[in-house]
Amino acid sequence: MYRLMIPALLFLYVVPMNAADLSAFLPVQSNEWSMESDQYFNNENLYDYIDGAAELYLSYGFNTVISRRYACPDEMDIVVEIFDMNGARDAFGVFTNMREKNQHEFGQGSQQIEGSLIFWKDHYFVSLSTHRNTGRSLAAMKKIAAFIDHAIPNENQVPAILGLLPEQNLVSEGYCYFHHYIWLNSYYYIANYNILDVNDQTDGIVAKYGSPDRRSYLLLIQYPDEQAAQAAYAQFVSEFSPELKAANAVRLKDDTWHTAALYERLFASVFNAPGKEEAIQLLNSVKSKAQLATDEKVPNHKTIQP
Amino acid sequence: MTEKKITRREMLINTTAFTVGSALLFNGTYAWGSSASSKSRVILIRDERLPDYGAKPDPALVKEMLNKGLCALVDEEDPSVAWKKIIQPSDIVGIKTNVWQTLPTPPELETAIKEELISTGVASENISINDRGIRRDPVFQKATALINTRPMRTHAWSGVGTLIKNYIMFAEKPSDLHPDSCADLASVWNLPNVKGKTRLNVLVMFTPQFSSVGPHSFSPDYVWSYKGLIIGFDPVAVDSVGLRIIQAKRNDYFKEDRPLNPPAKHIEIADTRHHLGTADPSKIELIKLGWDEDLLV
Repeated sequence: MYRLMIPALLFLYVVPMNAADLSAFLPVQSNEWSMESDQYFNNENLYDYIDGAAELYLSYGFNTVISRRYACPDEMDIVVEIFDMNGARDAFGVFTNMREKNQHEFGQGSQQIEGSLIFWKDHYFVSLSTHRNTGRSLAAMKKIAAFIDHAIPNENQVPAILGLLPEQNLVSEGYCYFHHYIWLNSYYYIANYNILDVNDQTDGIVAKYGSPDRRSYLLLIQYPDEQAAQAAYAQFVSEFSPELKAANAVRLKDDTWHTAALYERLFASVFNAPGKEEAIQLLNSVKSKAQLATDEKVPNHKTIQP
Repeated sequence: MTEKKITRREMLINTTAFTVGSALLFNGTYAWGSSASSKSRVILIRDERLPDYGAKPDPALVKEMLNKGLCALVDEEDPSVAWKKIIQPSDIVGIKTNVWQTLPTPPELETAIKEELISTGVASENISINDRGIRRDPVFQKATALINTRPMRTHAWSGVGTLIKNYIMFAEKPSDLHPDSCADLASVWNLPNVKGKTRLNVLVMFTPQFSSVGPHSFSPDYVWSYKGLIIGFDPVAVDSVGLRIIQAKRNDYFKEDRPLNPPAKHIEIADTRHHLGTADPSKIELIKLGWDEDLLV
């Protein structure tokens, strides 16, 4: 219904070309809330705005952000940020990094919880927040979100590696996309260093499978070429699971199973599986997906909705 | 500095107190103010009468909790004697607080600490409460003693905001400590204006935050009424107790193992690399006082 309200806002916008133009994605008013001020930050001064939290955005690749504050008498302010990320994969990555659920209400994926509404679309990550929601503030936030969603003209593709996740037993919204090694440990602690040589040239995703009491984690890293993949795989096997040189799965001291394999330039590994068969089966499913994608010569990225 | 590489495999082999997600490698030997063989004492004190998030606590109740906790820490019954064990009237005291907008150090706690310092004989002009301006603060510049206090909360880059991290504002350029998810935060405790000066660490767990969302890292959904203070001399030990509570709350709330993202490695590294204190539960003497419902530790 909020999409239907957009014409009533009667604001013109253009496709942003620079930082200042991001303001064209924002209304000056939403219900009783009026624009108070704008601030702009780039990757050199984002610390001045959100200090340590800046690193998350920088780790994904970030250009500029507009922060607009809206005020309303007798209500808490609403703060809206539009992050112009380097690419769609970065906006998607930030969203998957912090969302607990995907409500698909705005953009290409959204989440609303108490005091916070986030979504992503194209190469933009959008956040709306207030100290505490009331019925009025939530309505105003959703109206602003709808305006922004409509103002950003295009959607963009999710990273192709998402299409390599087997659908069976995948926890809904239980995956995180990244290309900075810090996020290797997003769901499951692997190592305190960059054991898989993750960098801006790689695509990584970690995903949850099965119920909480029988949880497996699948890690996929796509390298730019087979040479890089082989080097990373060799390091991983040497430093994490040397048993894989002689066996196809390893039982860890906590009685969970782990395995790993390389399919051309794709590294795949299963952690915390409740049994050997589950670990190998999940890996084989990845192999089938990877083979299918290779045979089709196109990324199979439409099988899972972000 | 050579980085110690720690994989999950190593932790499973070496650790007796492994906790999934918040896992640390526990092999430190140092305990603040005590011999290497003794444990770091940490006091967890809770009171059900504290209010929920957003409401102001009763200043008298906050002071009562602080004093009970300190008394237990130093084995004294009289708070005035307990304070004199850690602070001298001649001291110049910087109270390092935290002003993060949505979850700051409660002013009632800052006031309670200041009042106790004055009661101990410290001149009012020799006490300062500050956070982001400490490097320019004349009291902090000539401080002989520091008291470190802040709430614990999840953090988008360091895993959790801790007492160890609270001193980052002593650094000339705090962002220099951000690499590798703030792994070496404890190094700031070796700066000349910090080293050896901390007399007390007070981790505020009134309404701690167990998850983050958005650029401001906050939703009221992600705080809960734990109604506690964690007090100790060893900041690593205090932080590691707080971390276990945060991790337990995350697992309870999300109904599955939900490790901090990223892991709070700076706590473990404060122990194993910087030897600031101990993160090993087997080397921490945890004394629990007061309200014991849903302790989580």
